[in-house]
Amino acid sequence: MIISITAFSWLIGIALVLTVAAPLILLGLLLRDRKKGELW
Amino acid sequence: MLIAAVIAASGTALAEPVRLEADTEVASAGYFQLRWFADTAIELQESPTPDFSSPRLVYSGRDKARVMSGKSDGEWYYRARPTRADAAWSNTVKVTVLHHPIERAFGFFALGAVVFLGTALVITKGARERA
Amino acid sequence: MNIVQSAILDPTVGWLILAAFSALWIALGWYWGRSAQQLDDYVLAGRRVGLALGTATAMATWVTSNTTMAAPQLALQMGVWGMLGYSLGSVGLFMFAPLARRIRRLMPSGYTSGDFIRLRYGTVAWRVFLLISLFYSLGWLVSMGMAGGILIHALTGIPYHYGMTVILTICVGYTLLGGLRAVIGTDFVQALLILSGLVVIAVLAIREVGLDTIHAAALAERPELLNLLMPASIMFLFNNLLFGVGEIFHSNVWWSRAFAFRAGVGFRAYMLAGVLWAPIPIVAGFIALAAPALGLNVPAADMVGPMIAAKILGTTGAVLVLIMVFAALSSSIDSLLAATSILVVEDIYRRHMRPDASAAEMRKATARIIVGLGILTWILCAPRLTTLAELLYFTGAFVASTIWPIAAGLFWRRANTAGAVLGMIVGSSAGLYSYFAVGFYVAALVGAAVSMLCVIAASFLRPAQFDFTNLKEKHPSEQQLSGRPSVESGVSA
Repeated sequence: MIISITAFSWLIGIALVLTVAAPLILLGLLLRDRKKGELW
Repeated sequence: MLIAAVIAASGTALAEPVRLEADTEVASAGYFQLRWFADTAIELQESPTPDFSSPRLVYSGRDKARVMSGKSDGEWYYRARPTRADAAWSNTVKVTVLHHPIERAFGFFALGAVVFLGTALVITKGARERA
Repeated sequence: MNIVQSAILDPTVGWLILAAFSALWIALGWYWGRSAQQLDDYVLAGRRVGLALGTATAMATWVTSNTTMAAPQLALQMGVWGMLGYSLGSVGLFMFAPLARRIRRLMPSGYTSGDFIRLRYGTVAWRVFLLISLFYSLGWLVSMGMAGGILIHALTGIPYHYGMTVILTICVGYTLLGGLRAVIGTDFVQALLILSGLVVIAVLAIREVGLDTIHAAALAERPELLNLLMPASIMFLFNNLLFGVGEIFHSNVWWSRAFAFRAGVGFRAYMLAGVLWAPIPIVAGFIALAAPALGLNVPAADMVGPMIAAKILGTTGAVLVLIMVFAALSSSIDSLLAATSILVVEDIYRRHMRPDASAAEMRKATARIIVGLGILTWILCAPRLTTLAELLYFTGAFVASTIWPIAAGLFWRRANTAGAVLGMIVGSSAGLYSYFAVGFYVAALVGAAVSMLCVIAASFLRPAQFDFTNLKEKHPSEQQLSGRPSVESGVSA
């Protein structure tokens, strides 16, 4: 059962979007923690 | 004598054929590595039959190995030679691709699912009781 | 095996990049180490790490060179499910989330996973566990050290021994200076580098080649890679999942974080880390499938990642891969050094040799052991035995056999010592057997399954009635104040 080009593209696309979002999420959390004084 | 000396001096034309190896005789996941020992660029042929009646050129270049992967079930024959007109072919290497039976695969999958779900269960049940 | 073409980057460029980042990590290690004089600050970053740093460190530590190198390799060998199967390594992070919460709650003064096994199951189980844990830690360290030397050499031509020495020395250096705070702090930066590097490479690969072309060429040349019913890949799925769960459940790398995170952070940090980690093997892996589209010959499967990056992006690609791999390796090696050193200090030095050791003495011993581990790793990496690098795959059966002893130990009152010991020993053996009899892609699965049976059977036959409050131990500084040694030292099963 060969993966269709559509499914293949969706898979890579979603993974890529998440990976792009990741640093932004981490930085956002960092700023929030810093404001609350809960960095470490 | 002079002619013999010239032929002897151009030695490589009569060199030993390339030696070809595979890292496995049976590939149960469709992948294997072919290695060859040659100083020059080579061409690598693949054939479904040992007589190479309808060969396919798989690779041509200076690398010393190639990873074959994603191959379907079957017997595959390989040979290589330096990319010169008169070069001799290497030994023939045969690799049998025989994927694991799909039932075995699903068997392991099912076992894995049971272990995973069992572990998830002991954690969530325990976590809920403790809360 | 030198069948890869000559290095893509100039050695000088390689040295510059290594030097620049090394200086950065050391500077950060020194800076953060100034406030790490007390034991708990040094080995557990003060037990107050917040969500952002917590998430980043869990994610970055789980991104090893394996994630960036083995993911493309697996995609090339096992296809789409190989890639997705690797992604299932994130399940270990997800499943550890409730454990992290529980660990911190039950053992507020705890240091290591060894502490837990000792208190939960007694001395015999503890020693079996320590053997597995140290074997695994050393295997991981050695495989990372060797990977560092090999990859730096392949990318820059810098000789293996130099590259390997540099990466080990730098990691020992800043871990020594700053302890777990340095580890966690640098992990945050390293996480950003890894993610950014991957995105750039992936986006450029898609722009250069196109997903349609990748799909079509792979289908023509290596059809089974796109087959969702490729048997070996299906067998690989749960094996990889359970291997990851085993690694995370037992290793002090993750337990030390559970102890180091602020109350209430552990659960969310591990969940989020899992979400952020999961796509990485896919983004790293799919580019290997572009080999047919690029007409690229792949001489050795483990080099396919950097080769493709270089082919598509040239020098830029190679620089990005070097930075990414250096970040991934550093973020794992530093965690291993920190977590293994405290494991040795707590479970061997203190519990076996010096039960009255004060917190200050433990801190000093930790520093020495970090150096010692670095040297030991270097010695094992020096001969460059490729079989040593494969040691890590070997550990699958062993670590997976610890899943049930740990999970059941934390959550199931009835789980008893016999089950734990049998689970680890019989599980490991069964897994090891299947490694050779069937293949590497079932060893962890078999190890986990057999171990689970042992734990369940033993615990039903002779259920224990464990009192979880027994897991609370006095902190070494508390026992110093009270003038009495900790009651639990030298306990027998």
